[in-house]
Amino acid sequence: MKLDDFLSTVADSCKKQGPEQTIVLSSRVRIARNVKGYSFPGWAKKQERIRLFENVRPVIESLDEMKSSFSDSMDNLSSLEKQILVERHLISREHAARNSGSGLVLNKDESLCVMINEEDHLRMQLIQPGLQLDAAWKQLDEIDTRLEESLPYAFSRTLGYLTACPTNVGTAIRVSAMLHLPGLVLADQINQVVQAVSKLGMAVRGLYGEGTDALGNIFQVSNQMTLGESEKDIIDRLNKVLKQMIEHEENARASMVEKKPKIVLNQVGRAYGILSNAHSITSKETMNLLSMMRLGNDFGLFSKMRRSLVEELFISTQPAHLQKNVQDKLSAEQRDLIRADFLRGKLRSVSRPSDKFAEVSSADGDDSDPNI
Amino acid sequence: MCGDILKYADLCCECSQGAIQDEDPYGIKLLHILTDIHCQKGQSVRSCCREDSHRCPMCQFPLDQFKEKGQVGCPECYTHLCQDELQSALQLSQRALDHQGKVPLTFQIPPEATMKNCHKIKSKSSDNDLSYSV
Ligand SMILES: [Zn+2]
Ligand SMILES: [Zn+2]
Ligand SMILES: [Zn+2]
Repeated sequence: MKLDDFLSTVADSCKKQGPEQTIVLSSRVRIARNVKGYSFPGWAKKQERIRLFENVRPVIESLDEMKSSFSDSMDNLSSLEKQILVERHLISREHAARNSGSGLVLNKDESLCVMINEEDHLRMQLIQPGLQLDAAWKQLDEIDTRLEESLPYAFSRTLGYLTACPTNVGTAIRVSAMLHLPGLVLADQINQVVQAVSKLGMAVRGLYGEGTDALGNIFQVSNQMTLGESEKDIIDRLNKVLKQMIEHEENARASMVEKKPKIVLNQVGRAYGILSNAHSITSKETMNLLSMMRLGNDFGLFSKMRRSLVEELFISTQPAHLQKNVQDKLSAEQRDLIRADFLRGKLRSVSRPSDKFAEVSSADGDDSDPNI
Repeated sequence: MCGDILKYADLCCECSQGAIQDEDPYGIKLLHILTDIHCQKGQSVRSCCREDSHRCPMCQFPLDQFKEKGQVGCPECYTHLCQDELQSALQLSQRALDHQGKVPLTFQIPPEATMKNCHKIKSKSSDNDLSYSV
């Protein structure tokens, strides 16, 4: 099956909702596992990588969760298809660069994705909408326990699950949440918060992982350490940090509405104006303006706009998603034109934002979800 | 100091030697959990004294390149690495040096079974309850 036929539409995949969805876009748990007796992918010869891939792939495919899954070797995917998987956060950029001997298995609802021969033999991730790290880990833990019956994992009592890089040994778990934090950015508090979170042993990154900017005011927060702490403790600690970040974001939003409502209205109004009228627009500008529209929607400034529309536009205006509907290879400039056309079309049905806040001045900030 | 017998970094000198003689590395891995019990009295199990560069016998990874690559070649490399180097790498990036959390079923051995495998525990167990507090 072709990848494009398998993947759900961006609109459908963005409709999934979870707890704390106003601020937390999604929760992800990823674990690394390696098979005893094989070199790690970065050191293994091609033949060994292929042998591992061929041995492991059917085991993954046989999981109940992987009924009617998409499964392929990376060399069968075009660079466009790989890029689409990256833009949907299903594989890493590093994995997209790999070819024969590496592959992926993706379940029907795209919540479970297993990368084979990325930096480790297996990198399995489970994504859930909103804040649901515990639920995501519970599911992935069960899947992993079933896999260990068929795959002899490389494990040491002192070092835990052995990985190519010692920064991942132990639980080999990366737990992360994707947060939308426009309030903290506008209030100029984001650097303080990021610093405080880093001191607690968490990493804060941009939308597309390591080394990427926080485009669209979207931040990924994840644990940094994997050895010396159980999965549950790691998740509990991250949950605590996230709860605090959510609270700070809510407070920042509430105080903005109270003290500087015009600034918010101005930002949201301009964002709508540009996005629904531009004829050429970059990906970066799009993301940042969409962030303001999402914020405006959270404040109830857009009547009848579903929040998932903004999420959908975040992804479908990415380069590969724009390219896939067009035959010829687009230059960056051509993409900016097509992106603007696409946005004007999508936003035609969204009416302009209200120019004042509804009765929110009496709110104390403890109930900051005016329209869900 | 264990000199060059320190093949099994997780183990004390005597057990490392035993492990090599037994040539049963996976059986001996049952002992890893007991490491700290053995080596509480000032013997540093983890200090490795290997100077010569060599390769992992399993995957031929040049172990002296661990520092510069930041990665190893295969799971077995961890046992053959210079343990000082490994430890300092872990100290830089990790919270602690001992695994907490999930253990695969095949590694979940009842305590009695582990103890049978270690000579020192057998001889000391009756008069030293402290041993079990690890
Ligand atoms: Zn011993
Ligand atoms: Zn050494
Ligand atoms: Zn090796």
